[in-house]
Amino acid sequence: MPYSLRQHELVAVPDTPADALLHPADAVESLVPNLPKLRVIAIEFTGPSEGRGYTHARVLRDRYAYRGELRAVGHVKRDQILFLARCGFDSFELAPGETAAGALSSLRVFSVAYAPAEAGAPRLRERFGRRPNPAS
Amino acid sequence: MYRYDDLDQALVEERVAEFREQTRRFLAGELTEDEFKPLRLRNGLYIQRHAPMLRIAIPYGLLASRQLRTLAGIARRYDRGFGHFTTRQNLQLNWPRLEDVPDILAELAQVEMHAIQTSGNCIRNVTADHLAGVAADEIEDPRPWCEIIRQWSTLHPEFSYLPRKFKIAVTGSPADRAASEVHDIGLHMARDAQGAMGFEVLVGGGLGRAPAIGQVIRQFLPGGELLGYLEAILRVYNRHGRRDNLNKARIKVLVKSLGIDAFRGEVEAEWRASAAFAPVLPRGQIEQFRAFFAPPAYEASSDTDVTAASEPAFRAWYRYNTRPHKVAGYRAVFVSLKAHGVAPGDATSEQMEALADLADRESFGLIRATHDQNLLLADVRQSQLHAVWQELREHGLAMPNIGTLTDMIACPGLDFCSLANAGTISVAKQIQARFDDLDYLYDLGEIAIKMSGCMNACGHHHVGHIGILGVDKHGEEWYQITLGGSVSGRTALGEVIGPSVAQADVAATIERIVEVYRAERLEDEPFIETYRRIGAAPFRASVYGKESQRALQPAAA
Repeated sequence: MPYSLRQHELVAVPDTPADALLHPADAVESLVPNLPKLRVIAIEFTGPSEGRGYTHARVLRDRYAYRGELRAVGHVKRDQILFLARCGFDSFELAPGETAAGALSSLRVFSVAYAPAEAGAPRLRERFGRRPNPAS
Repeated sequence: MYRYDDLDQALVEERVAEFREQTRRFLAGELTEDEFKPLRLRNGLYIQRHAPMLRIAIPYGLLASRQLRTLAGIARRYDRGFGHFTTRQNLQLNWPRLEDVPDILAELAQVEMHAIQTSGNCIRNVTADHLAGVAADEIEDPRPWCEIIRQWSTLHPEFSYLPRKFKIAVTGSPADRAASEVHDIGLHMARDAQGAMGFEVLVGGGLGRAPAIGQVIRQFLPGGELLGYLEAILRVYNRHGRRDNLNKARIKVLVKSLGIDAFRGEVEAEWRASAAFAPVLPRGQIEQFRAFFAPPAYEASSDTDVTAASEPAFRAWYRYNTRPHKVAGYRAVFVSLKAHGVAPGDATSEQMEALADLADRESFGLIRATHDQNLLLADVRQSQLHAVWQELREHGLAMPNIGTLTDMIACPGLDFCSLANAGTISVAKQIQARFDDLDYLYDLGEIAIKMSGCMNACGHHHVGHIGILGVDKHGEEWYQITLGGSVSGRTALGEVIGPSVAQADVAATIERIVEVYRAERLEDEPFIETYRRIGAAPFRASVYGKESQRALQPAAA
């Protein structure tokens, strides 16, 4: 069951199928022609060291102004969840063994951050700003 | 130096709380060893040969006296009363208990320190020239920029799961004292034609299994664009760096496989495409960082010859262990962690405390860790040098060998590290014993020996004038010798001169090599210049000549 991020809360939502699934080695650009039609994009994490999905998310949000649901699937552990949220993921299919309560607790550990996050991430006090997003 | 504000302080304290909970989950069996590993590594914690090893960051090498005292206290209470300073301006403890690490991190947080990202596949502790701010040849002090990079890279949401570790070094002087050309990114402070501050950017340097020298990706990057450009490089690396083979996952492999021009094309395209969203550094914010590194309140003074009519031992120390300072009347003082009989880079808690006290009295309360595994008091009045020397000598910190053959770099090796193939500490002691005559050391002049216990090259053997690499041969410790490496001035990778030598023969082999130099040098020609002029052949002939065949194993196929 996926959980949807609402600021500092995680809300269980119905398991609607994703309109597209992006594997780590896939090019984000392959989704661009159909982007206006996509409401849910799932990005897969295949293991504990897989990190391409974070970049996929940021590129979709920033460069291609994707505003639909961005769901992290696969090896999604509670200790990654704040990083995922700050890169623009707004829903999570947690890995087996993880609980929403645990994920929420990890999500709330930090009240501050240095590098700026995507819009929609839980609001933290941040050190560095970004140029205003012209697409928003 | 930089002082934490409430945001910085909250971040390190929240990080401690997070790791305390992660450690609890691991000890309670809620996290497997495999799951806990990436979490502990991101807090500097390895599981080593005897116990965990904790690597504490000393960002760009700068320590306040209260921080050094805290490190001394931690080493005494949680470890065995000493710590090991590394080539990347970290301090390693070799014996802490896993259960104690959250408390250690909490103590560090109280003095504005941490172990965040000192390991793991993320952006590591940023390093800098140890003479930053005091070197006469400096274009600009790199430390404000290092602090900006430290903050930006700390818990970066996008770049915390990279293909492999990622190291950045910054230097503000044309003389590279930070080994910047063997870093994933090397930043050289520069000015453009209008006098604006910025960076020459190098990428793709690194040691380890396939050593590479960084290549220029951008001649000049305006300072305010720094973070956006770093993000463009990291993003190209994060997307395209290899993840299928740990040994090919560093950015140097990607740069090599694409070629620097194609790699540059990718980065510049990424930079343009993400320009509108990149983190920005407004001028006012840069100035805030700069203000933390304003020069201390120097006394007006003039340079004097303080060695006149002093004893020869002091004169030798002055010559080898002090350096010019940009302010008249001051010198920078090396605190040698290369006393003979001691593992290179090790300091005891008592030494750290004595040095903290000395820094409070004589160097504005600041201490620096150097790339060569020594410490440094950057701002000592010349009139105080004799007293400082005496005090350092009392604590075994005045070995007058900086820049000489026994000022060698060595990783902890097989005695501590579970990656190592061979010991380094015993070999270092063997070399120290063989070259214990200071007059002989001084006659040899500047020779950089760098020794690693395995291919990971933590001891930077590829860039030693004389490099020593420990290898395992059928369960025995052997040592491969390279010559001609260099990391200051002209970065070069050393050349293997022949089959590896047995442990007992390392110091004798080094002696044969330096005797060739003594016979062949022209006047004051340094070792590295002689090597470049005459090549490896005469050295090879001496080491592997007929009379030495007995001691050496046959040439490898």
